[in-house]
Amino acid sequence: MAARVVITGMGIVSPIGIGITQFWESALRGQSGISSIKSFGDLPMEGYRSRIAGLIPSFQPPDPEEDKFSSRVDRYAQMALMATKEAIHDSGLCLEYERAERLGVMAGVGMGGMMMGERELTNLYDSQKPHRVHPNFIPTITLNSASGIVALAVGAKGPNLTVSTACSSSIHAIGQAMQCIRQGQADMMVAVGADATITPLVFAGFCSLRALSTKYQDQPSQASRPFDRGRDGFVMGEGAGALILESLQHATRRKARIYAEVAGYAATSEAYHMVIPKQDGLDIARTMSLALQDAKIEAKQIDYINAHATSTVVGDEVEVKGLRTVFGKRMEKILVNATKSLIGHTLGASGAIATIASTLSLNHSIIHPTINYTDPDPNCALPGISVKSQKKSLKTALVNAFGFGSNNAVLVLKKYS
Amino acid sequence: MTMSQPSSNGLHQRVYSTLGDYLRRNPETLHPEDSLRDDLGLDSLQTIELVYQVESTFDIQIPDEDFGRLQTIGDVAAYLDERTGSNHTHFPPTDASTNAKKPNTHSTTKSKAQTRSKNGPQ
Repeated sequence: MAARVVITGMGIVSPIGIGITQFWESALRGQSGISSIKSFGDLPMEGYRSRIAGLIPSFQPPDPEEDKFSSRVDRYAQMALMATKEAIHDSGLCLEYERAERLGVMAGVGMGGMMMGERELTNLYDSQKPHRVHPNFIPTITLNSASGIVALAVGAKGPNLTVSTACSSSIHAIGQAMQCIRQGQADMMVAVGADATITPLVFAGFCSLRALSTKYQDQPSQASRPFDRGRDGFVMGEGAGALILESLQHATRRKARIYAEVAGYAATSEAYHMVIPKQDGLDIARTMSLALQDAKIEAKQIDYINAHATSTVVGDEVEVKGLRTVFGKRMEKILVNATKSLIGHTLGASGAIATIASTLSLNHSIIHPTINYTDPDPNCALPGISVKSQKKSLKTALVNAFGFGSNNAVLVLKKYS
Repeated sequence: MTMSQPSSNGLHQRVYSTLGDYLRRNPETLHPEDSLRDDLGLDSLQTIELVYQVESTFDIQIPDEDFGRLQTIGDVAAYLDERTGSNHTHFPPTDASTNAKKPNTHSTTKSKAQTRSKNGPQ
């Protein structure tokens, strides 16, 4: 019988708070982390269709004297490292007493070290000197630099992998970390999602894709508005979320605090379009059904859904179609929220951050508001969405994430008992 | 290849300052005989980074065949002394683009590298 997998620690770096306590307090208040981008160096900001994002100006990597790892990686991996350290501390794991071979790392990363990538490319063309490309460029931009540096920092010698599936990366990372434990490859896994690519080129790329909100440049806090009639695209964010997953046996043996059980996971492809979800939502529905099946939970048992809900016109509608397909009339009762309404879309970090929010909700019997849901779109309105925090005893939660490349990921969480 | 650290020499001050910046150490605590690997604890990537820093600061390119000779702080200082000082014949500039834009006024003999840079791809 496969091992049961539980969450025993969490850490976060987000636009509404660094650290779980600050994040959760801000989330319950409905605080927006969206602000104006002041500049991209000398580039004219008026050339950008969108000029707002979920930034974390207070994030500073540790002093290299105190942390020899952070100075060697890009901003996204620095955030991953900081979130992981908090999660390890939160879990109470004493790593010096644990078998390093039984601890693994599974990172979810969408864009990776593009910050350094862009800088070095610019320097190369400006200087015309290929030998001026920084020697740490390649180790920094590789998509597994976060999982690598995290493994180094915590001394993890088990599986050390990176999943890159765009916006669904870290739901897959958590799911695959769970699989590692279920299959006996590890007793403990750091599952971490991170992205920090609000950079001149990447941001311009999302602008060109016409994926970003442009109507609320002067009211940044109102721009991310999932399920609302006034939504017009997503808002990019940056951040990291880390969770410590353990086999139930390992966690109970060391008398760890257990936040929740990761009960089910499913991964599917729509094989439809690189960036557009299929309009009928049937593959999304299929993914949720598979995750419920994996968790051995019936649809009628789900109490709360943390929706992918990026605030794009098409995406939110399709997700609700999928939800209605799986949950039917029960969607009138299930609580639903969208963490992206608060912090924007943190790409590879978004699934991990949504899972953290869901886990906290299971523990505190309250879900954070979906801000800016002031004019519900009849095409995707649900009674369970509210601009206010909602208190309710919750036993189960479902977390959705869908990504470019036609892929879907769903997690099912259970309150541990 | 080691040498003393003359405080009055502007070049050496720049060398030690550059090394100190990378190593996050007071340049005065660096000694010519300090081994980059054994005394300063640099791994191979860090050594490459340090040399990169030196290349950037002094606007030179250090070829692979010279790189292996840089084992100590003194080696680096002496190497730069030879590359950027009066004795250029042992370590000819290899930065083709730099050579193309800035004729080496210190060198009295045309190096193989300079010859190659003229004949090589543009």
